[in-house]
Order: sequence, then C-alpha cells, then structure tokens
Amino acid sequence: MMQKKSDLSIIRRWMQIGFVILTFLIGLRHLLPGESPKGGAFDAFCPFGGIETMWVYLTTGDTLLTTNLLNFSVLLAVLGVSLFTGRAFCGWICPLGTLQDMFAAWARRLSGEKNKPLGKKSQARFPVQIIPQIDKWLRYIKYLILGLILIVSTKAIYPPLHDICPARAIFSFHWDTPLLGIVMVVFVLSSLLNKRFSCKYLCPLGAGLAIFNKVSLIHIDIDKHNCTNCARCENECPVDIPAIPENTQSTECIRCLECLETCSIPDTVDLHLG
Amino acid sequence: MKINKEFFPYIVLVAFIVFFIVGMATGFAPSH
Repeated sequence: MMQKKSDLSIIRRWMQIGFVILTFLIGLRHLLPGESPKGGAFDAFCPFGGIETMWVYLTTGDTLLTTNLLNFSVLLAVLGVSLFTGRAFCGWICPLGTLQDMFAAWARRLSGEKNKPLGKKSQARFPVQIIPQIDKWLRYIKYLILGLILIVSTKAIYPPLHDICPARAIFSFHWDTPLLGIVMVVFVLSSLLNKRFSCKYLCPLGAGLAIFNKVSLIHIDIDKHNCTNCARCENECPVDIPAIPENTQSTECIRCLECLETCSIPDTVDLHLG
Repeated sequence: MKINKEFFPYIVLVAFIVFFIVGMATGFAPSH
C-alpha cells in the first residue's frame, strides 16, 4: 500500500504555497499605477537585498538603488527564523525553494513516476542526482558567490544581483533586460534536471544562513542506537544530504523535516531544543 | 529537551512575523 504524505509535509506545502502567492501579489502590486512607490521597488521586499545594501547603509546611511530600509526588516525576520530553527526559511518560506520542489515533482511525473513511494529511491529519469564527489565541491560555489557579492556591494549603485536575481526574474513581472529572461529559463531547467539546484549550488542567501544550522536553538537529532541506516531519510531529502544520521547539523539542511516524517522507527529522529 | 514536531511550523511562522514587526517598529520601514 502506498504510504501517504504526513500532515506536517502537507502543512509545509501549504505554507510554501502561501508565501509563493504572497510574493506573486507583491510582484503584481508593482504593476498597478502609483503602487510601486508604496513600500519601494520589488527588490525592497527581498531579505538578500538587506545583505547587499548593508555596507553602503553602514558607511553612508544611504541604501543601494531599488532597496530601502524595508530590506532590513525582511532580513531580520529571516535571521530570527534562522536563530530558532536553522535554515527553515529555505525549507518552509522561500518561494524559490517552493518552485524548485514543484519543478522536481513535475520532472518526476513527466519522466514516468506518477507516485513516488515514500522513503524509496526515485526510479524516475529526472531529476538526476549529481555524483557525490562533484556535488560536494559544487556546493562551495554559493559561498564564493556570497563573498563576491559582498565585495562588489561596497562599490555598487544597484544591488549586485539586480539583473540576475531569479526571484526578480520570476515574480517581479518586470523583464526589462533579456538577461532576466535567460535567468528564468536557466532556473526552471536546472530545477527540472536536479532537485533544488539553485539552493544547493548557487543561492548566496542560503550560504549566509548556513552557519545557523550549527547554532540554532532547535535542531534535529537522530538516535543512532535506533537507526538502522535504511536510508529512507536520504531518499526523501530535497537537498540530497549524504549519510544523514551522521550529518544532522549539516549546513546544507533546510529543516524541511522530511527525514523526521519519513523515518519508520518511532522516536529515532526528533527535534530538540538547546 | 524534545520538542513536538507539530509546533515547528508555528515556530517558523511566528518567528518570521515577530522579527519582521520588530524590524519595522525599530525604524527599518520604507519612508514613503
């Protein structure tokens, strides 16, 4: 019998959809006449905009063009979530993460797997898994991107990601440069070909939040005495963390709790405070 | 201390909203 998704997974999906709708509404709002100045440009609602404009704000009191003080409030909200729960923003709130989850599910269906049995390895042709030796190194790219953006932001006028931001490409409805169109196509294709490609390899916000998985108040614990190394958790992990029982505090974990929901042995994978 | 997993979504949502409001209340709001 097919095991169904748990209540927690369904709540997560609805929460993700809620934030996607909210982001679409923010993008649509900026198309209305006279609406754009209220709250600022679409970029002003982005938490990463707060990081991009931080240096300029601290040194001059101004913000980069298209960003404003609202970016800091959104960034503070994301940091607050991360302080309590690690990278749960990526797993529960980020609209780009949600779209990548959806594209991966579509890729599975389009390549012949209508219903993936819970905890079993996917037999679909897509999304493909990059071999672990290469995957391990590719994951460092996002830290390089973050470092590069921090350096460039000290001399920038616009946020460095302004013309290549996938959130702007998808949600802002302002395709004022062909580059944004290319970014959108690359984002969709990469998400179809590989689960959460952007999160794992490219996202500078995820790179910045990674450290919170080591210091967050709430963390995932696995009772190694109970664990049978059945790999059900690894088969469900949306960011393909290898050897999960040994890597519960991995900086790659997006705290989606799919491992916790998939584990078939009671009281083996749990959430702990402190 | 073990935490009931059912509370996790509420912790995420409440933390996001509370910290956003704190940011806005401390002056990190658009001036328009």
